[in-house]
Amino acid sequence: MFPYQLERIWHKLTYSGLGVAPITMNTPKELLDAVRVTPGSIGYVESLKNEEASNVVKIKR
Amino acid sequence: MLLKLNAKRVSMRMKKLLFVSVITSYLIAVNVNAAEQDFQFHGFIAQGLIDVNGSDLVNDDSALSPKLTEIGLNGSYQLSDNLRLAGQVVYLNGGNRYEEGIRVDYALLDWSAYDSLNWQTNLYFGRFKNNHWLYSSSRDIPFARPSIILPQSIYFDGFRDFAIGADGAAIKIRHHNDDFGNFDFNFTYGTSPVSDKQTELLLSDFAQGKAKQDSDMQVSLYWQPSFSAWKFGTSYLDSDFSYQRNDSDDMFFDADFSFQSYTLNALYEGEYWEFSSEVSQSNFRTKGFYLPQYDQTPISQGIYVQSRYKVTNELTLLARYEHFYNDKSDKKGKKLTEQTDGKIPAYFGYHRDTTFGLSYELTNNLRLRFEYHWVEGAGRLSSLVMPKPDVNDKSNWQLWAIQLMYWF
Repeated sequence: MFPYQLERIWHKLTYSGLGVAPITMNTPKELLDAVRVTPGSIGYVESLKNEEASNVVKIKR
Repeated sequence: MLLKLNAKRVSMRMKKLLFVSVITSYLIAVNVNAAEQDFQFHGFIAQGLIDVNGSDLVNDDSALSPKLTEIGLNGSYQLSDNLRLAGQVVYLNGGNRYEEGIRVDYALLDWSAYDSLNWQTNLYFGRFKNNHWLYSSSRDIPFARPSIILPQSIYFDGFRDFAIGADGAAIKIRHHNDDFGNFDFNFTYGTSPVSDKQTELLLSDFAQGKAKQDSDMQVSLYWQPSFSAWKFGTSYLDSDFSYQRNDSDDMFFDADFSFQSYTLNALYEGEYWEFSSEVSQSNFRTKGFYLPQYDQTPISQGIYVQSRYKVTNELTLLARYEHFYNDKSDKKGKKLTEQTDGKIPAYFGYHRDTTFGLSYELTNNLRLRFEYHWVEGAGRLSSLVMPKPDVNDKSNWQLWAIQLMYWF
């Protein structure tokens, strides 16, 4: 799946009443910080330096 | 709760990595309740210019028009783990295409009735939006649809307010199967109010009585094979309308209208290329109206094929062709002319549109779109029962439109 497809899914959910879109973060660091402080949250990033306090699932190409 | 990165910051390298992660992310996203963010609101505003030469699609005098305004504001409130309230109000101005003004796009209670890793079932009560065709839920969301004017064979603006949604109930069942892929089933039942202005747009200025929608039932099924860029869908619609004449002053008679429509669609979403196509066949039965004993059921057919190409992250090109005719036994409108003693030209029997367009993303939530349409025929202009050949006196007409859209 490509990023534009994700955007379309979120747009459809957000503006048609079908569901709730995720919260958008601007940088990988912001995203990691938000995952750390939000119970039950998930996010995806390209690489990690510090994996403490997050449950990381690696995705192989 | 799912958190995501701003799309523009996702690198090309990461695109492939996303491929696997997203399937999991998406399922979790619809499962997990955003307890920390119970209330969300979003909106959009779009303004454009549209110039139609040779038809009354937007206005009667073919002048350049700013009647291309779409504004929306929505909110979503999570009441509990599986109950959510959501609503959206829109203001639309499209000239003659549909009624100008504010309307409630949706106002619903969303009950997440069943959730597991592979199955999700949601029930929606209230005013819901239809989600049966490729762009039916995004047709009035400027940045979520593929073009400013959608293919009228399927997304006829004259039927917009009935096709967009209804007051009633809807169910959505999603299933993910590792071997066979994703399945998405939708069923909706309800009615939409019919305003005097809509009666005038569809049934002409002379219709002085009251039109009403008695029922609207729609069902659709989508299938996306595992790890495929293709998605296939089919839908069925059954809707009944009635017209009660105004006894004191009406040239028309009481009537029952019955409309059934079948569609098939396919969508391919690749990294740069995208293809989509929808085919439809509709029966439109009219009993009464013109004369008490009138009873006709023309079968219309339509198809469009569309391609989009992403030149860069910002620039997308669009090409589309569509072909529609009101009566499959009269594809060129000859019978139409004969039956009306030449009063209605043959080109009112069909609609063909060749479209080229481009979209440019100025920022993540600001887009500029431009398109040009070459149209043959007047078969998809709003005055269905009383065509206006005096205003629409050309078989070939063109339009261009430009629209700037912002969303948050």
